[in-house]
Amino acid sequence: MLEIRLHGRGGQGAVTAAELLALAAFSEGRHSQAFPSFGSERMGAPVVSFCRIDDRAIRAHDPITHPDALIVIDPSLVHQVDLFSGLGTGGFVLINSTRSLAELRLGELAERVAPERLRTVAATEIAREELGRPLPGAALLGGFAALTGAVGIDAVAQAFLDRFPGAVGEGNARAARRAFAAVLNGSADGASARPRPRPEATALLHAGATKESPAQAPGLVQLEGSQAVAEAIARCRPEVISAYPITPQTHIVEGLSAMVKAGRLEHCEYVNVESEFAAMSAAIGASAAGARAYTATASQGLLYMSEALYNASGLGLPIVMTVANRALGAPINIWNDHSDSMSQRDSGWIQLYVESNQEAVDVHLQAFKLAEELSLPVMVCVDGFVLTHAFERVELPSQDAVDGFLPPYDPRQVLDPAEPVTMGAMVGPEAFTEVRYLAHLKQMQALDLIPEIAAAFAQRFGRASGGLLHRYRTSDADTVIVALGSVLGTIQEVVDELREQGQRVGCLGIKAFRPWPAEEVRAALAPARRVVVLEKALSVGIGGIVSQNVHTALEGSGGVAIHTAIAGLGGRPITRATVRELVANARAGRLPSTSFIDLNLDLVQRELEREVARRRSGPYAENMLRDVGIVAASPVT
Amino acid sequence: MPPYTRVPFLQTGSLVVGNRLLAPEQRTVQADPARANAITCGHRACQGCGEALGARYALDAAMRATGGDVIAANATGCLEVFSTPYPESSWQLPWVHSLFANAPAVATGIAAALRAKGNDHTRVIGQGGDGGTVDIGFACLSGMFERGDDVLYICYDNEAYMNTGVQRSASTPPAARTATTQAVGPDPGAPFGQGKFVPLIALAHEIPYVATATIADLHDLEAKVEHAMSIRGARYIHVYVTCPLGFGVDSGDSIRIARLATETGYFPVFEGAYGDITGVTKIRRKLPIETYLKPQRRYAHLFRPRRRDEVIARLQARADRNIARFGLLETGPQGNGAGVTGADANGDALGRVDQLIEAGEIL
Repeated sequence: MLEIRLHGRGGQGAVTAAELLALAAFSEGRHSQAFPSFGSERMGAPVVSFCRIDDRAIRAHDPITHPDALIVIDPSLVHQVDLFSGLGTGGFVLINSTRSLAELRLGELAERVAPERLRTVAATEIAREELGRPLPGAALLGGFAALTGAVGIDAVAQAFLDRFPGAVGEGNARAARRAFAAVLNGSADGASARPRPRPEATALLHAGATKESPAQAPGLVQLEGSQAVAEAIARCRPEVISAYPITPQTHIVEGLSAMVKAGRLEHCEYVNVESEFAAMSAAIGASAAGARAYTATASQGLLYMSEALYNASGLGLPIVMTVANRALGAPINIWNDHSDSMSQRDSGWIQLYVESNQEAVDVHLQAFKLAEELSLPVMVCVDGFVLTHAFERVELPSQDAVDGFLPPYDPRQVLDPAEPVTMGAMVGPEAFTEVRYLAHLKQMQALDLIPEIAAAFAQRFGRASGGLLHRYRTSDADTVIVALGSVLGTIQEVVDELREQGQRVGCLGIKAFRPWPAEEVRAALAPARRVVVLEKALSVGIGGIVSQNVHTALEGSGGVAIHTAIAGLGGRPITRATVRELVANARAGRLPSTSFIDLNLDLVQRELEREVARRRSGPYAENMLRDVGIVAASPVT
Repeated sequence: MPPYTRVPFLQTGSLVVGNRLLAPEQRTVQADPARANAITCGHRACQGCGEALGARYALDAAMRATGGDVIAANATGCLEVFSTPYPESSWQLPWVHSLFANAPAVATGIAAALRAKGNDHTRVIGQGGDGGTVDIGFACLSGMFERGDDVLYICYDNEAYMNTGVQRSASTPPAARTATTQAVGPDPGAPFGQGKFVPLIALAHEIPYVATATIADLHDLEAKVEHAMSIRGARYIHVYVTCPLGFGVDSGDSIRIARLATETGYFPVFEGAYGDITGVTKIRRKLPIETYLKPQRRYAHLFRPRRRDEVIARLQARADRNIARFGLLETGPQGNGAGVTGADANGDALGRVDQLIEAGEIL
C-alpha cells in the first residue's frame, strides 16, 4: 500500500488533489482512498489530505502518520508545520516551488530523504500559464506521476478532464503533462535536476492482486462516502426525504437534493425542514401516511430529534435514517466518535454499524427491507468524516437489482380516509407493558432477520455485507478486540500483522448493536481468554457501553478478562500503532479493566491543580486548549 | 324563511346560530344529520369544554368540504388525551398523535407522502392547543408556514396549559391566574408585557389564509374552515376556546365567555391573506372589559379582596388597542364571505339580535 500525504492551505485544492490522485489510480484498476484531515479549516489555514493506493481492497481508515510520499502544495508550510513527520528514508517528497532545494533551506529535514526522491516543481507557475489560475493541484499530480510512477500521467490528465469538463479540465490536463515532463526531463519548469521515475513506489503496491477496472464493472465508481450513501438511498426509491444540515452528514442530503431537483429521483418529495426534530417528525408523518421515508443526521441533531426517535419506534414506523457518527458537546466537537448513536441505543431503533463505504451502500438497502418487514425504524451508523468524507471505490448496485431485492413499501398501518385508524392513542398501565414487550419482541426478531437479509443480499449481489457480526480470525484467537464501525479495518490490518508474528489475535466487529446479538457474541468470543472492547463512546460514571453489553453476553463464562478501552473520542485518530500497543498491553496483562487510550494525563493534572488552587478556575475546555497551545494566550493560573 | 318569527337564539347562545332562519345551504354543518361526527360522542372532555366544541365544528366542516377526505395530525394536549384513552378513540377520520411539539411537522410529512403518491384529493389538518402551537410547537409551525406545505393548522387557544393543570403559556393574558402565575404577591397573575399573538405572526409568513374565530360564532368557524379547505398551501385558523376549569367559569358559560371576549375587543376576530388583513368581524356593541373579566375566577384577584382599577384599566387599554388596531368598531368590509359573520347572512335577523341584547335576553 502506498500512502501519500498532501500539505497545503485552505483554498489551494489539497482535498481535490488527493481525490483526483485516488481517481487516477482507480481508473487504472487500483484500489484507492482519499480523505481530508477533517475540520472547519478556513481559507489560508494549513490543510492536510491523504491518499492511499493499493492493488487490493483498502481497509485502513486511520490518518496517514507514516507516509510513503509527501506532496507539499504550499512551500511556506515547510518551516511552519512538521511536514516530514513520520516519513521514512525511502519516502518521496514533491514540493511546489520555483526555488531550488538549497534555497528552500530544508536543512536536516531533507537529509531524511534520499536526494533523488526529493523534488521541487513550479506547479503554481505552470498552472498560472496553462490554466490562468494559481491552482497547482494538476501540475503536482503530474509531477508526482513522474517522480513515483505510482500513477500514469494519462490517468491523471483524464481525472481532471472528467472532473472539470471544458477549458478548466483541459488547462489542468496540460499543466499535469507539462509538470510530468518537467520532473521527468529536468526542464526549466522542474527546478531541480536529474529526474527519473521511481519504480520503488509501485513496489509498495500489492502487485499480482486482481485488478478490476471500472470499465469491466459498470457499477464500480470512486465516490465520496456521503455521495455513495445518497446513491444507495436513491436506488431504494424513497418517497419522502426530510433534510436538515449538520456536519458531517450534510453531503448525503445535498446529494439527494440534487437528484430530486434534477428529476433523477422521481415520485420523491424532498422537504427542507427547520430542525432535526422536524426532520424526524416529518418522516413520522410520511411513514404513517404510507410513504417510504428517509432522513439523515448526526451528533446534536440526533439528540435534538431524540423525542421523535422514541415516538417513531413506539409507533412502529419503518423509517430509515443514516447517522454520520459524531461526538456530542459540550465542548462542541464535529469529529467522529459513537457518542451520538450510543446515546440513543435504548430508543427502540435497530442500530446497524458499517465498517466501509461499500458496506454503507449495501446495508442501507438491507435496512429498508429489514425496517419494512418488521415495521420498525432502522438507524445505519456510518462514521462521520472517516467514512462519509472518504473518497473510495464502491460498487453501486443497479436499479433493477435493487428493485428485485427491495419491493415497494407495503405498510402494516396507514392513515387512509377510506379506512380510518387512530395512531398514537394514549395507553395506560392496563396495556403499556404489553405494547413495550411487543416492541422488544419485534426487535429481537431482527436477530433472525438481519442474517437472513444479509444472506439474501449476498446471494443477489455477490458480496458479504451487514449481518450481526464480523468475525475476523477469531476462531482460535486468545485475544480478541471488539469494536464497531470504520476502525475495524484498521484493527484487521494489525491482526494480520500480529498473526504473521504468531500471535493469536482476532477482531470481532459488531454490525448490529441493537438488537444485541448476545448469543452470537458469546459464541464468537468463546475461544478468547482476553477481550478488549474498543469503545468510541464514554458512559460517564461507568465507562464503557459496548463492554457492558459484552459482559451481558459473556455472563457466566468464566476465565475471560474483559477490558474496556475508550479511544477515538471526538476524532482522536485510532492508528495502527494505537491498536498494536493496545494488544501488546492486553497480552502482557498491563491493561486495567477500563483505560483511556492516548490520554494526556498531564493535561488533566494541570486542570485539576488549577481547580484546587483557585475557586474561579474558569471554563476547563478553554483552559486545556491553552495548555496544549492551540489558543495563543497564557494559561489561567 | 319566516323573517319575523321571534326566535329565542338560545340553543348555543350565539349571535348567529339562528340556523332555522337561514337558507338550507347556509345552515351549520352540525345541523346536517349526515355530518361526519369526526369526533364522536363519548370522549372524556370536561363538561363545557370549548376545545371539544371547536374541534368538532372545525373538523366536521373540513369533512363536509372535502367529502370526508381528511387526515389529522394532533399535538399532545387535552384534545389528544380526552379523545383517545386506550382502547377507545373518538376519531372517525384517520388521525395520528405523535408528540407535543411536532404536529405541524407530522402534518408536513403526511402532505409530502400524499404528494409523492400523486394523491391530490386527500387533505391534511394539523391541530393542537395553545401550548402545542404557540410555545413548544412554534418552530415546527413556522417551518410548515414558510415552506407553504399544504396543511391547515388549527390552534384551539384556551390560553394556558390546561391538560397539565393550568400553567402559563405564551398565550396566557396579563393578570390571569395560572398555577405558574399565581394570584399572590404585589402583582398577582401573569405579567404584562409578555406573550404573543400568533395569528399576526402567521400572517407575517404571508401564507394564503389566516383567520381567528371563537366558539361564540361557530357558524363563522365552520365557514372559515370550509374556505380554508377550498385553498391550497399553509393555512392557519386560531380559535378562541373557553376552558371552564382553567378560566374558572361555569360549564354552561363557555360560549358566553367567548362572546364577551369578542364583544369587549379582548379577542379580535379577523381574516387575512398573504400578509394583509382582509376582513374583521365588527363588534356590534362594545362592552367594557370588566364584563369579560368578572365572571372568570382566573381574574378574581382583580376584584377581591380589593378592586384593582389600575390593572383593569390596563386590560381595558389592551382591548381598546385591539379595537383600534383591527378596526373592530368601524364601519367597513366584513369578513370575506367565507367567514360569514352573521350580519351579512341575515341582516334582519341580526337587527333583532341587537334588540334582544338591549332587552337583556342575550348575554
